[in-house]
Amino acid sequence: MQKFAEGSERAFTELYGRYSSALLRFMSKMLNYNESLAQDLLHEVFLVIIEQPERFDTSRNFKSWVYTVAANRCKKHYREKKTDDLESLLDSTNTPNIVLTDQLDQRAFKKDLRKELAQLSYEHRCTFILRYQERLSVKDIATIMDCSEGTVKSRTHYCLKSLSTSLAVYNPQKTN
Amino acid sequence: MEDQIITWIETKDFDQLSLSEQQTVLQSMTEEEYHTHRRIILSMETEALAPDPEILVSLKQEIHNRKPKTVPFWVVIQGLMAWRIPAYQPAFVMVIVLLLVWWSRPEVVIQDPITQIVHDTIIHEVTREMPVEVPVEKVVRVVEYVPVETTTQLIVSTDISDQLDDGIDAPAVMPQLDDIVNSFGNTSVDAAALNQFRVGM
Repeated sequence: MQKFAEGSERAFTELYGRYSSALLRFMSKMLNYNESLAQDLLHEVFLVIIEQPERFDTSRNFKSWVYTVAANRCKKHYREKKTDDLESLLDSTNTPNIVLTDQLDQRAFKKDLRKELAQLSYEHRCTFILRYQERLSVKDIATIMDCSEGTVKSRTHYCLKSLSTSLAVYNPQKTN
Repeated sequence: MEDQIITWIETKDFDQLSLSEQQTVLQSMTEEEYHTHRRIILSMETEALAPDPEILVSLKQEIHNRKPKTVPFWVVIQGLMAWRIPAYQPAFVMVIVLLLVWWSRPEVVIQDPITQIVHDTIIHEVTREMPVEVPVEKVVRVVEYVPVETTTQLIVSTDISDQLDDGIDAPAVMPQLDDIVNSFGNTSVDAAALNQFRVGM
């Protein structure tokens, strides 16, 4: 990042190659799997890097910082478009929870998981995705979410328990 | 304990846990819940998305647009020469500059003159002639008598007489002894005045 701030385009390409896919995946999940919107926000995140490189404190971890920028973009969009996205997601995942058969496969489980994730609060969803999708450490998540490590653990446990309760209708032994 | 169970959920199936670990887990949740928890976590990982290649192209274009372009200096000068501004602006700037120069001029501080007295010795030699009167205590004139053998021989030189005859009318006379004794020599002082200094023999 320091090299890019000094004007190296190659450094920027390297940064983009390292983090674009992971950020896109993270934002896609944060935006209820709206991939086109995630692509737009990915563009915005890297525009911030180009336009305001001085915002990055070189003493900090770049990964944490860039995830913070991405999370803030998602949060802003989440506040503005929360209802619309959630409704579209619910329409697209029109799988009844009650009607379970032995043919329920992993795809159905994932669909319901998406729906349940979408119903979590922004903070819980972001924490959960960063922890179990992006595999970030509790410390990094605490930095990104600007909260204590205890809060991160608490949110993670809450999400896991809540999702597990919602998806309890699936019998993993049968679906596997 | 909760953290430990979460770690097991993240890393092991329930069947892979030891008996003691299974017992620990079962104190917090059922085996089905453990399976569901693990399935949720594993389902989160499998997602592969590729960013649109157009994004990188667009971003690189943005970087190029932001790079400062080098403009030749004559273009800059031409631009400056063709730059038009209202007349009051340079006038205003001139006034400001003059005021600044006036205010920032150095103050003339008149200081009292410093007088330094330097003492030096100058020797000036002056030669003056001063008459000094020294009293003469006693003037002694000693006149020694030397007897001279008197001869009356007249020596006449024909050659000299010829010469004398040319300028002298009277012939030379032989001096007498008294005249020699009483004479004071060849002097212009009156003999009478010198008689007081005469010493008897």
